[in-house]
Amino acid sequence: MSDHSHSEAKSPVVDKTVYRKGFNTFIALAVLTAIEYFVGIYLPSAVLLILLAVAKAALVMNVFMGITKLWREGDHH
Amino acid sequence: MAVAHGHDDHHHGELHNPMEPTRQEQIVMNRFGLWLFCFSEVFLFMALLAARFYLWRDPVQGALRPELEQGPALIFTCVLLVSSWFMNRAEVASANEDMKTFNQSLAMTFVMGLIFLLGVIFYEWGLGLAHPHILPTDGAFGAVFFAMTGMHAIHVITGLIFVAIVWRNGNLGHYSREDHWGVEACAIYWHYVDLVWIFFYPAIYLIGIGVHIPGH
Repeated sequence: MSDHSHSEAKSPVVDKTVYRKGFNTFIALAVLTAIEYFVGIYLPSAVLLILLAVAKAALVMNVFMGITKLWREGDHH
Repeated sequence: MAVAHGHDDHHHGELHNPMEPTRQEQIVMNRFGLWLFCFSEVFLFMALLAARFYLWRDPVQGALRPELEQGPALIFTCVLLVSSWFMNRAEVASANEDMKTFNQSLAMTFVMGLIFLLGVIFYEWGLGLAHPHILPTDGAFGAVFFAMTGMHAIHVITGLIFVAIVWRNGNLGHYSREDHWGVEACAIYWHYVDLVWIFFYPAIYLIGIGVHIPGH
């Protein structure tokens, strides 16, 4: 395998927009966490808190974990 | 560490045996296997959540929870969330062979994960405090609290080891635009650890009526 210089040599110009989807998801998760906190403190509703957690989990599984790759990329073979 | 390496047979100029899966087919199977592993672990975490909702309950008042400090728990939750974002950046960077961003983002993932872990151990568990908020001997509250946070912390430790291995392999040039399965696997695992906390955080700190633990 290559040595440490391999990684240093690889610094191509990258379109920064490819990172935007992850950042937007992060902001959405942060907002949902803030809402979750205020619901938990000021409007203690277990149902609402569980719904918020499910919404956050759906975002993480879809965008960050890429669950759709399971059937999208599996179909090619 | 077969899972963390990203060798592609085509790169070595070897003839492909049609009876054996190609690297891409292998990745599809690896991905399916990792998701099955994650799914199998759901049963473990669901059992802990079931214990929490069954034992932290009063017939009259309904759901209960131990009265714990909210601020630090929210901060540690945000730290884990930020680590998830950095992990996503690292994965996208490896897919685009942006090794500088990959290195920085994975290092930040490790640091944030470590802060979360140390926060849980030294603050939430009270190992760094003269008077801990809660002890494992505090009845159902203590037992379930330490079982849930302990099981999650073990997964964070495993994730940190995984991140460190992938960071090293990335620096050795094991990943490419075409084949970065090691990074993807690490990302799926790390986000899974975050996913578990998404349900644990409200279950431990937010849902139910706060009950003061005697002696604390």
